[in-house]
Amino acid sequence: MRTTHIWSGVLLVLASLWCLFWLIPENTAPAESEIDLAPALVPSIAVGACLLLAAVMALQAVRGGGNVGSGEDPLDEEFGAEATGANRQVLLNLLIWTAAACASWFLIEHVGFEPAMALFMAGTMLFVGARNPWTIALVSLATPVVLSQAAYQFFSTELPAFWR
Amino acid sequence: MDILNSMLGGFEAAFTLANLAYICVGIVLGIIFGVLPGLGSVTALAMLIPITFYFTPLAAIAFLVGINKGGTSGGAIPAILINAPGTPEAAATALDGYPLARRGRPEKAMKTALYSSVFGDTFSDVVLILLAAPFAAIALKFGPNEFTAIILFSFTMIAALAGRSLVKGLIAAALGLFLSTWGLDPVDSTERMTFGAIYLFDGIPLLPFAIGTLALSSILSQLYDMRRDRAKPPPPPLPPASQFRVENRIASREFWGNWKTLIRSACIGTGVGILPGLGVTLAAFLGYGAARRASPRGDKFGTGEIEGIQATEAANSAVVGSNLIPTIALGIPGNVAAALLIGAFMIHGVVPGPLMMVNHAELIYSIFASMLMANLAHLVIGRAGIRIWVQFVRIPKHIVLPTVVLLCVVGVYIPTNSMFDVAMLFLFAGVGYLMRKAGFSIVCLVIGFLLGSNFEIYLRQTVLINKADLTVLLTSPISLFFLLLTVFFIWHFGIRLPLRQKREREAAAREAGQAPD
Repeated sequence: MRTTHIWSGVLLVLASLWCLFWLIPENTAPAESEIDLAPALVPSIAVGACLLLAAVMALQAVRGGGNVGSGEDPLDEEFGAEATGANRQVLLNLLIWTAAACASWFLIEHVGFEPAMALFMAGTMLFVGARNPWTIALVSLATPVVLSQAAYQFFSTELPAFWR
Repeated sequence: MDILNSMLGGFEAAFTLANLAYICVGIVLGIIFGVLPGLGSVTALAMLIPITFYFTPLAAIAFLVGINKGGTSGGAIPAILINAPGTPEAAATALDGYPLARRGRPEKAMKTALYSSVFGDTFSDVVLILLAAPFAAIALKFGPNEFTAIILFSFTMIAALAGRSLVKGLIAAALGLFLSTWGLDPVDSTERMTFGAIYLFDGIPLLPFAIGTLALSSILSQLYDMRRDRAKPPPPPLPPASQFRVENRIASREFWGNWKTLIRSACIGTGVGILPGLGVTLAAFLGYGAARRASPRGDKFGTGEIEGIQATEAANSAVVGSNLIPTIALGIPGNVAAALLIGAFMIHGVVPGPLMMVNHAELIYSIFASMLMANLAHLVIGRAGIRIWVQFVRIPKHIVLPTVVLLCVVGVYIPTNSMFDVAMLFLFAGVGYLMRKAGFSIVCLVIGFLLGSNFEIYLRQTVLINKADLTVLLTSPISLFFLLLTVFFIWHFGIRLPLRQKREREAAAREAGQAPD
């Protein structure tokens, strides 16, 4: 967890500096009256707080103290054992999710919800260890069709598909 | 007398067949989501808020309240049957529920959990009804400067109490605040961080943000855990069907014999619910711990004592009603479920805060009436379906979790018919997953996002009213009080507590004859 705090602290500091010196000034207008606050003020306060706190977190982690959770601390209250630290496996998982999400989004938009989600379901079931081909085929084909029909019948919403 | 008359009016509006049907459907869905592995009331609320776009405000909130109530008690069923809590708060229920089921009395354990849950819920709802109006009346005296200070204090309090680290909690809240400022400026309507994209003019959409960070990121995390643990042995099998036919009654003397435990736990849960940032899980364990200390049979806890089940279920369910007290009085959510309900209120044009009791009094009392009706419906539905809910425990996780991903996509797409929202959902699922693993509080992120726009509006109103003189924040006694509390929380949780923990660690390391890290 200590390495996670150092890396996330450094990344947050860099991202905050980028926001403070480019993103916010380039994408906000000046104040319209003398007594009003500039539209950039609250975003800048938020990012400034983020910058300061991220620096504190990274420094505490480097010095090996502070309440930012080092290895021997008890489990995280909100996430329990889930909070493992952003290790190489987590980053790989994030990469897999990014690829799957981009592919799914592209397929939903350009092919259709049912085929895209059938592929996604079958892939996910295989990924997590399901091996019964009949279960995989039945669930991954039926679920998107049922949901698509439910969306149409109950909410008059047609999910994206090139044939609709 | 006013409250009584208002409640009678509330019942008049809420007691319709359609409303009752929405409540019942909500409870059934809540219990199912609670029972299904890896899901829970927060996931259910996040996923099902989009479909309430089509409901009236009363039906929508009644439906969501039903989900919240059902989801909180539904998690107890897998905890009792297979020692696999469907929700984190049900983990304490497993301590005595599972041993009781192993002793051949699964149905008795489930009934005890249900009745205790309904008791805790009802107790908390009554407290909500009695306190919401007086609290809101006090809050009505507050102006923009007081609300600015209160929201600032809420950020700090939630960050300090929701996770283990104040610093990480505040980073998450600041990130949520920053993301809430995207879109058109609330005073001047100039563009901020929209990059010229029309989709971002209304800001980052709430539903993909909430569903992505809260529900989908949790599903992602569980999918990866399933892949990692696929070689591990499966969970224990359900108790045989024959056990559901014997010893299934719980005598009223046996249940009410522990009335002190029920009331104590309900009080603990209600207190935890009123304070923003404290979760249902904490209430369950506090209730269990207090009952174990106070009970003459405390040494038998953990071996299948029904008092242990009563203590946890009454406490965790009592949070559901009382966490609406800060929501209604101040517009500040007590926990994530209340934060999602704030989102639902906003979707239906009701701005949470003390003005709710003035502008929408009839709706609020109808919601209170619906909550009491929901408790009765919860009792009937939960009891009647007890053997049906058991069947949902049998559905394998590798079918449930991918299906929920699809439900999230459909849920986000339906209200706006926009693939941009689906992209946002996927993006925030990734962000939420990374935050979970790195231990950054998602509760703080979501609450920072939800309260961010109000914070900015109140701050700018303060500036405009007082002609750019921000010292008014220090001269008003109420805002000064909350600012001092904010400073105290930062000092206590950010400096004093970490230093004490560091000293304790160093002392422990010295005792163990090792050098501190």
